[in-house]
Amino acid sequence: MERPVKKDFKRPTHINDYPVGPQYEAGHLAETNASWRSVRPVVDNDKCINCLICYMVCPDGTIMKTDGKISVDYDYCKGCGVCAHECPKDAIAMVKEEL
Amino acid sequence: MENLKTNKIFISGDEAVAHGVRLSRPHVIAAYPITPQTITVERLSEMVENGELDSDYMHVESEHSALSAAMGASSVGARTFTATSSQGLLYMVEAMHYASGGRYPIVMMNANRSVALPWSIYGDQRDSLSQLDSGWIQVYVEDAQEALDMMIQAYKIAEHAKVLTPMMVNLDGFILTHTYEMVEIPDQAMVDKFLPVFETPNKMCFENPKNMAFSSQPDDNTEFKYQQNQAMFDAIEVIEQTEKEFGELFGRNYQSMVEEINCDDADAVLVTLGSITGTVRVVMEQLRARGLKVGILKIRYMRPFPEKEIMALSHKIKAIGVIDKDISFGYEGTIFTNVNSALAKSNASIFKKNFIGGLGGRDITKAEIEKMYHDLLAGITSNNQKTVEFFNLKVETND
Amino acid sequence: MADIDIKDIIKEENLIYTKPKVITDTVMHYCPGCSHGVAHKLVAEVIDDMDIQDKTIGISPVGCSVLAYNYLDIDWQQAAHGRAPALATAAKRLMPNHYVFTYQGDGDLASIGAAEILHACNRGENITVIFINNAIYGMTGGQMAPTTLVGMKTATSPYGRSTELNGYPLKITELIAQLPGVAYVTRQSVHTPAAVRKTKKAIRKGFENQDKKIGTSFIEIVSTCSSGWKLSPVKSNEWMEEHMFKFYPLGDLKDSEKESEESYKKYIE
Repeated sequence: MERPVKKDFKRPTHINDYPVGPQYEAGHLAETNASWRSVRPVVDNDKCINCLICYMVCPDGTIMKTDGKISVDYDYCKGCGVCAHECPKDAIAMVKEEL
Repeated sequence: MENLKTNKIFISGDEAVAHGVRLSRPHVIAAYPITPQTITVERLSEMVENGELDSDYMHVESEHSALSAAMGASSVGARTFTATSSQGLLYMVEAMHYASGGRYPIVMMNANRSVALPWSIYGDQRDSLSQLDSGWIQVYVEDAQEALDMMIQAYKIAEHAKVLTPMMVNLDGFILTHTYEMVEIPDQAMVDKFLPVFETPNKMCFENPKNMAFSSQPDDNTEFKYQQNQAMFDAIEVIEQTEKEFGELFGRNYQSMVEEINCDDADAVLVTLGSITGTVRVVMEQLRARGLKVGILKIRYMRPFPEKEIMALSHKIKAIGVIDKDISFGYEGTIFTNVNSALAKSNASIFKKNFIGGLGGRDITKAEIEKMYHDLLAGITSNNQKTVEFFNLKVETND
Repeated sequence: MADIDIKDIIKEENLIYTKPKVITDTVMHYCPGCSHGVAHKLVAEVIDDMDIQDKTIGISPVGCSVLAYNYLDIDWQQAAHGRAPALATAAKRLMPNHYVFTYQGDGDLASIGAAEILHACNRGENITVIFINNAIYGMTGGQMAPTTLVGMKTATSPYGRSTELNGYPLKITELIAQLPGVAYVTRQSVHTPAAVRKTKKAIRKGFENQDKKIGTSFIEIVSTCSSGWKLSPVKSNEWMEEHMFKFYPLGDLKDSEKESEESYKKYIE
C-alpha cells in the first residue's frame, strides 16, 4: 500500500528562492506529524481477527494491513486511541510513549 | 491618406472608466453598486449583457464578496475588475491585504468619497489615503481621459512579471465621476497591441497543481513581505516604461510618477492629488501672469511613492505646500506626511505647509488656492504660520 | 340658516384624522408615490397610539430611508450598511424597556446585511424589524438586488434578471420564518386602504410583541419604487399587484402566539 512520503524541502537562502506570493506545489509533504503523541497503539496480532474496524475508524489513515497483519504507521499516528476503543477483541493496547 | 475620424465622445468620468475597462477585456467583473461609482458598474453590466464585452459579471452582495470573488477569479488566471468607493473600500480592506499579499494583479476603480461618520456621499480622499499600507499600487487621475487611459495602463503594470501587485485607480467622487468631458476612446486593436492577453505563472493549473494563498510561520513571513515591498519598488521602472510605451502608441503622455508644472524656476510649489490639479493649474497661470514664480507638483502615484522626484525638487524651490483632502486625526494630512518624509531625507531646508480642506465634498475655490500660494511665498521670508492648517473652516475656533 | 362657526367644526369629538404627532414637518425627500411615506406614517401612528414617543429607538439603514431620522421625532441611530440589527441588538439589551426597531430596505437587509439579520433573528432579539422590499437598490439608482424578480429590468440587469447568471430572487422572509427565535413574521403592503390598515395592525403587533418578550417581529412591506422601476406611481402599484405579490405573497408566515404549543415546539426542539 502506498504510504505518504516525506519530501525534501530546501529552505530558501536568497529572497529569489521564495515563490511569488505564498504558494507552492500541491501535495508536498515536508514533515511527519507524530510529535504530539503521548501514547501509541500496539497491536497484539494473536488476538487480532483482521476485521479491519480499526482501519475504518482511524481518522488519520495510519492503520494498514501488510503481509496479512495489521500494523500502524508511527510516522503519522497521533495516538488518539479510537482504534483501541473500537477493537472488538481488545487487541490494541495504548502504551505510554518512552521519553 | 486615411480619413481622420475622431473617436471622441462626451462622457462622464465613470463612463470613461467603463470604456477603459471594456477595452482591457477583463474576464471577470465582480462589483457592488455604491454612489458615486454606480454609473461605471451600470455601463459595464449593459456592455456585458449586449455582448459588447465578453466578460463574466458577478453581481455580488457586498464589497467584501466582490474583492474575494475577484481574488478567486485571479487565482485561476482571469483578468479581473472591481470598483467601489469609501464605505465599500473599507469593507473590502481585509480582502485588499489578501489580494496584495497573494500577488493577484486585480485592478480596481475607486471613486474617492468621504467616510462615515458623519455619513456623506460627497468627495474627499480619506478613503484611499487611509489604505496606503494595504499593498496596492495607487494612482490618482485628474480628468476623464486620464481615467480611461489609466485603466488600460493599470493592467499592464499590475500584470507585469516583476510587479504582480493589485492596482487602484482613484477618481474624485462626483467632481470627476459625474462631470462630462470630451474623451477619446482608443481603438480596440491598438489596445490589444499594447495590452497582451493575461498570462501568469501565479495561477492554479491541473498540470502542476499548487497550494496558493496559504499561511506562514514567523520564520517566513518577513521574507514574503520583503519580497512584496521590493515588487512595489520594482514597479516604478515598470510604470515609467509603460507610460513611455503608452505615450508612443496613443499620443498622450502623463509623465509617470509625478507631473511637474512650471517647477524649474518656481519659488513656491503646491502639491496636488487628483482633480484639484485642474483648478490649481488655472490659478497658477493667473499668478504667473502677474509675475509670481509658482508651480505645481501633481503627484500621480501615492504608492509606490515618488520620493526621488520630491527630493530632487526640494533643492530647486523655496516653499512647498500640500493640499490634503484628508486628515490623519491627531496628526496631519497623509499626503503631507509622505512628502515630508521625502523632504527630511533630502536635507533641504524649505518652508512647508499642509492645507487641510475639501472634506466631505466642500469645494476648494480659486481664491483659497491663491491664498495658499501667497502663504507659501510669505513663508519663505518669515515663518510665523502654522504648519498644518484647516484652510476653509466656516466658523471661528478656539485657536 | 344659522352661521356655523369654524370653532363648532374643529372639535375634539369631530376629529377623524390628523398627522401623527411623531411625524415632523420636514418635507420628505422620497420620490412621488414611494411606499416609504406611508410606511413612515404608519410607524409614527403606532408610536402615537401606544404613546411611546419617549421610549422608542429607531435604527436607520443606508438606502433611501437613511434620512428617516428627519421625519420621525424619536431617538434614532444610523447604522453602517446592513448592520442595523447589530445596533438594535445592543440597544434593546441595554434598554429592554424601550421599543427598538430597525427600518431597512432590501439592499440593506437582504444583500449586504443578510448575515446580520439572520443572526439577530436567530438570537431572538426582542426587536421589531420593518423590511421595505421593492426588489431593487433604490438609492444608488435602481440596480439589481437579490430580491429582484426573474426577468425584471434594472440598471445592472438591462435585459432582465436571468436565473442562469444571477440566481433566483431571495425570499429572505421565508428563511427568517424558520428560525425558532422569531415570534412573528408577516408580509404586507401599503398600496390600498385595506392593505394600509392591515399593515398598521401588523406594525402595532410587532411593537406590542416587544413587551411580551417572545422574540423578533419581522414585518416585510412589499413596496414600489417608481424611479427604479421606471413606471408612474399608479402603474407601479399595478405592476406590484401583478408581479410582486405572485412571488412575495402577502400574509402571516409565522405567528407564535396563534400556533398551538405542539406546533411551536417543533421550532424549538
